Amino acid sequence: MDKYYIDLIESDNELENSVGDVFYIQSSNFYLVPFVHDDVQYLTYFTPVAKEHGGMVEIDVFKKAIESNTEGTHSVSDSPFVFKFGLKNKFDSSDIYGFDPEQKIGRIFFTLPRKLAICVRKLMEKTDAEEFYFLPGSQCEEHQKKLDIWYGRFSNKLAEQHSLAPIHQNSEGGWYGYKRIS
Amino acid sequence: MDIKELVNTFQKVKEEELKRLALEVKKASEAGRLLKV
Repeated sequence: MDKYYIDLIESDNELENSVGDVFYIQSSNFYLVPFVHDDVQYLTYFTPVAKEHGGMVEIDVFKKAIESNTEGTHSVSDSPFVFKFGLKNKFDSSDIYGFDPEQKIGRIFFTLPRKLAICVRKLMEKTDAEEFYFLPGSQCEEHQKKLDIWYGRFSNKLAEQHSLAPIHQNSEGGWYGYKRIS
Repeated sequence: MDIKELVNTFQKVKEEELKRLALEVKKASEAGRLLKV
């Protein structure tokens, strides 16, 4: 087991113990937090949006698209992040999220979203990010459903508990964003 | 680029990107380049 998972103890009562520290990979400029869920090791990531920081699009292009879709109610910060999560291992498999089809529904509805929210909170704290974006897409319909469940849970309760507010209220469009509440 | 194109840009490479990131982490961990923040 890798050293950054050694101290992680899976516990539904003490979820913080299932979530690791924040790490940074300088060569690729992204941050990560490991966590365990149902004995499976996951990684969550904050990757920069902006191409000049190793991201996928020009920051001005991103700003324009988001701001026009929020009808001027949100100004994108200069260094937004995209949040992602996937399996630590089995990255050669198409099953990148590793959801067990037999997993009890409560563990998908409640436990997993709470762990993901802890990861987000830690990433926000350590990166000083003002906002992050989440695009819950998957080529697999079952995975997509579960990602939507997580989004729903996070959106309804967890964001508020972690001092975050949704950037737009419209759940259609395939993107979600959260900003820090000061 | 409108919002739909933007979302598609990210979605198109999402799963490949997750595999790439996981491999980067593995390599960095093995090389001792994983920096705790």
